[in-house]
Amino acid sequence: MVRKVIEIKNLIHRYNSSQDETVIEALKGVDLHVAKGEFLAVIGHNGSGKSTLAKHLNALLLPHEGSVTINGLDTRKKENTWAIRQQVGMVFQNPDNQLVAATVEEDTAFGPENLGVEPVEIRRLVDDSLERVGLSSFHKRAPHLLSGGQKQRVAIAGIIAMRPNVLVLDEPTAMLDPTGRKEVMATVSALNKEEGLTVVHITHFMEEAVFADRVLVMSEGLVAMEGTPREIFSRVEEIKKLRLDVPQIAELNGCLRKEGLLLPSGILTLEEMVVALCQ
Amino acid sequence: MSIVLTGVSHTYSPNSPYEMEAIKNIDLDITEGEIIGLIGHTGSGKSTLIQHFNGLLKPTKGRVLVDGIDIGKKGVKLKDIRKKVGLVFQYPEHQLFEETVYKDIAFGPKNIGLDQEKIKNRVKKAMKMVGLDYAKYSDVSPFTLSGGEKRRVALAGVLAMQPKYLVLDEPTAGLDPRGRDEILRHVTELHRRENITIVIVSHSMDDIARLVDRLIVINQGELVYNNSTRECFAQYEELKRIGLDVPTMTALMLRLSEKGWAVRTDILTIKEAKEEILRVVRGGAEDA
Repeated sequence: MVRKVIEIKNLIHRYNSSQDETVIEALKGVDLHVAKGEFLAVIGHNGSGKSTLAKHLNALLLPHEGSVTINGLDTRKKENTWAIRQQVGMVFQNPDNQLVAATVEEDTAFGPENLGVEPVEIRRLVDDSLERVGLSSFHKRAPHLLSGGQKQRVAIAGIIAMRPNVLVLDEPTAMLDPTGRKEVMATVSALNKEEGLTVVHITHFMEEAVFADRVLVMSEGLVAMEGTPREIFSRVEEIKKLRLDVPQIAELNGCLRKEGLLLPSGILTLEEMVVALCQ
Repeated sequence: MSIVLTGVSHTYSPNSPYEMEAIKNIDLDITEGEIIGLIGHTGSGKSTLIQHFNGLLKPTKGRVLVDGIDIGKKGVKLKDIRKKVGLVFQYPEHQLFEETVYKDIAFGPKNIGLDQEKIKNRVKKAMKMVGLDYAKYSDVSPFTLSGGEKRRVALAGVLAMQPKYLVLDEPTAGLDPRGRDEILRHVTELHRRENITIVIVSHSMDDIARLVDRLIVINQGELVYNNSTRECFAQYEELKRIGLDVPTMTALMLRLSEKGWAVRTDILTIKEAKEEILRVVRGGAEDA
């Protein structure tokens, strides 16, 4: 049986409007299961409820109705909060808002220190985490002097030093240059593929969703579509109606097929396109 | 008329241990009517550079002329320069503060002492330029709007000052694909219909490829390329070396070329890629 790391049942979350008495329902009954080791991409228009959903995954928000269970721990129970936050690490959009210490290694050590880990073990965790994000040689550097992609990788190192089961990334590449985006995606992908870390990746870049095992499409506080990247991005009309898009390569494939070229449907990446064209 | 930079350098915290030369000896011309892209890795000096276009920063070396006026000269009214050159920062919606969309957009025109009637006209016109319906949005609180709508309100606030030059720092960051397309469509229309000169800073090579005619590339504070978009993206090895990339369609053509296809590699958009692939495939079929 596939083990479920995340189980969400009929999750409802409401915000009080800052303007008047109205109540906005940001999540209107979301059901979601994420299996251990899965790479889930979450896409959806601005205001669709993606970030609200993410904040429920480590008990930053608590359900108004329904339930969120992480590895069997119910987020509504106060005594579970710290165990859940240790298991689910979050990386946010702005690389400048997440780093706290004067050097890369001190920043990475912040989590384990707070968990009361022994100094010798902290040293080991920090070295190991920095190696896994490819920043071993940067350990004495000042975080603010790093590039955006490097800063996000330090943020990821700080999280995996706490040995979490799930990594939640909320638009981690929105502010990065092309190299930074590639670095972050390669790091996340390696942690998932090689070490089996469960990943929930929220993004507005359709090209990034292509690398997920499964794509969840949110709209108006509900799950609008769900499937493999190939299934989701072949439903072009529906995707566009939801204010989203398909990756450029998928769009090109559609154009070429319309012109009568015998290409398979569901081509998503540049390499797939090259292989198909060269056959 | 134009913005002309000659030998512009900017050093932060000079003569201190934190001294940092953010841009170095930049020569650059922005001529009225152009639409230009500016790319460079994070920390390359893009933000420092664009703040020289309207005098938010003054060069520590060199000279910036905006329509012939030297912004570094004593006694220059920077207010006049800033009316000409509108700067839209990253995440400009964070700077919205008024109770209604109308008031927020009217803030600039009000500050320069226009009368109510003129202010109203400017707000209406600016809202139209960014595709916000006046009747529907003017009395709404900006904070109840979606991310893309908020950003368009912020953009309208800058447009209400009727700038000749508009500089946008990553106008699509954090927007969903539809919001991104809407903003870019309005930017294109501002250029075509209103004849506003545009400089757009972006990390998306795909967006840059379909928008701009000329591309400025900076790396570690220095100007690396200043050329047509097509010619700049032909320098793919150099672009990758300095933390950038080429558009997806250019990358596809380069891979096909490596595989022995006789395709042009200076392709920028999906439409061009489609036509080029069809040309080669159909041409090949005729030979056979």
